Amino acid sequence: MSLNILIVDDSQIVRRVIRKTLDIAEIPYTELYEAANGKEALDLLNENWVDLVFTDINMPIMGGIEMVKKLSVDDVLKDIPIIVVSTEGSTSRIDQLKKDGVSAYLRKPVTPEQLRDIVNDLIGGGEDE
Amino acid sequence: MSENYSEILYNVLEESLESLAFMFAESIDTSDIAMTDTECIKVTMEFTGDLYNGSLMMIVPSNISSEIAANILGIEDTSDDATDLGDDSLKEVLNVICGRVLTEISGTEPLFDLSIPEIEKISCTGLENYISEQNTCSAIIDDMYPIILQFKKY
Repeated sequence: MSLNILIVDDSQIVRRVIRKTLDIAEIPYTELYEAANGKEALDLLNENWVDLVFTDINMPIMGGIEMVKKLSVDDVLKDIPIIVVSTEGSTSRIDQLKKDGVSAYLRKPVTPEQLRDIVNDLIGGGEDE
Repeated sequence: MSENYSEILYNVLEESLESLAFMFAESIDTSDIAMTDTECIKVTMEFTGDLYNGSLMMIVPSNISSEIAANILGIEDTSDDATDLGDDSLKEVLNVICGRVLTEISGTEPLFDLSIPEIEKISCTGLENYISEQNTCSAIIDDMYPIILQFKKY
């Protein structure tokens, strides 16, 4: 199965690193969209079908937490799996993110193995549909 | 009693640089640090939390930025991409260090909100003013680039 993936991070180098890590992990994708903040991501999600979202928490204009909350009340978008990729290590933050609808949390720096395991858990891997 | 987090700062710096940019840091005495470039870059970020507020600051010579970007991305440090993403890479390094330092100092229970890192070009002269402060660590990266890291609680 080839995915449409959205990477949301205000850092261009982080977006590039996630893209590269997806390639190394051999996660198949058709489209790889990028957004620099939550607002850009919501605009993009309203125009394009996306199967999986990777997002940071701390971003200007609209951060990842606000974006996740908006997605969770959108009838069309609420079921898209969201993986938060962040530097934060607070368990209370991670618990709250999961309550808000985040599917998984990865702490930076992320390895290809971690990425592949999480995507396989959420989407299923190795099977063509 | 005031705490000194210099050793934690160095351990996190060493681990973060190695895992993120495949670069190796060696601790040096702060009095031995000498910047190799005339222009330095200061990256700062602030945090607010349940237990305390504060900031983390990193100072490096400006010529390291493209090398860090290149190492993170696995590209040549002379490429346009490495030059263009140099500042971005320094912000990301500090971002990773900040998250880990807070966890090392305060554990995983407290909640902290981190600001977006800010970058400023400064002269490399007069850095001894930073070095003399508490909760500062200094190191040499890849035997070439000096780095100063400073943690403050407000």
